Amino acid sequence: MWSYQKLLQYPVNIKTPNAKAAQIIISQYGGPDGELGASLRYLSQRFSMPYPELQGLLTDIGTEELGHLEMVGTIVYQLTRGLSEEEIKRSGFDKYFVDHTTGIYPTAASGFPYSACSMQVKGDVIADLNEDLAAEQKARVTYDNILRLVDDPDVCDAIKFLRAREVVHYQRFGEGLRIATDKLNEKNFYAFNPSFDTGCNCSCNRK
Amino acid sequence: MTNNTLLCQMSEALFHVWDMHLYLDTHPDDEKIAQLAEKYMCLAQKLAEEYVSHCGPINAMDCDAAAWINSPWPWDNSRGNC
Repeated sequence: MWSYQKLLQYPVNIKTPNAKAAQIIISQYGGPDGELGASLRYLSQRFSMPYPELQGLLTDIGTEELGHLEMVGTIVYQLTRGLSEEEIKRSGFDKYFVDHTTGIYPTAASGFPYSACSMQVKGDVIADLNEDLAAEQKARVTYDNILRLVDDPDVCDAIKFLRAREVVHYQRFGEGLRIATDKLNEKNFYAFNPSFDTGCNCSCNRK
Repeated sequence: MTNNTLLCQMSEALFHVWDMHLYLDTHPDDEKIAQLAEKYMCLAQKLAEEYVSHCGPINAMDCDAAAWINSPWPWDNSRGNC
């Protein structure tokens, strides 16, 4: 289970609403490389992950991603507070507004709703950890793109924090992959899945 | 994080603890970092106690129900930072 802490991992304090920025940043809430997909991916991959270090890593990073989901939701919420009808129409926010008003809905910036098709749980330690490494890089690029498109320092401050966490998580998953490959001996270098082929214990006599 | 509010100080200390915790997932034998994490944990706990007494609860389980719902929610910055 989880226990909620009534604070953000990093404070968000946006003073100026900006519907244009909100429409872009919502992608990190429910888009293909967003925080919802990140947390679901890691928290779901844990069950079939062998080795306690990796189970711990997926639990902890998956939990932190839920905190990031809350931060992105907060950014979008604060960017869309007190908008006038005129601003909603002028910024193009009307297409989101008609379905969700200023509620926070998990969708990509393109309008495509959150889809689990943008993530995978393969049940294989090598496949899943490589997916996780790629996911961190894709999220990092999305934050880079947001920083290219948004110039409010209050927004950029929080986005830069989230970007930096992708880099740290990438590093940790790299170490996790190293731990996993170190446990595969020369008879099982990618030959079978230690999450599934139980009893083999990395010295399988499979031909 | 540029200002030096109690919330920022506590968040910073908690962040140090968390980041070292992640590091220790893949480096469980690094005693130097484990000790440093413990040091920051003490600081974070001290700041959290101060925060709770001035600004309201952090955890649902360690306060009365009225304080839990009446203190500001993290996404709401309209009531000012603590």
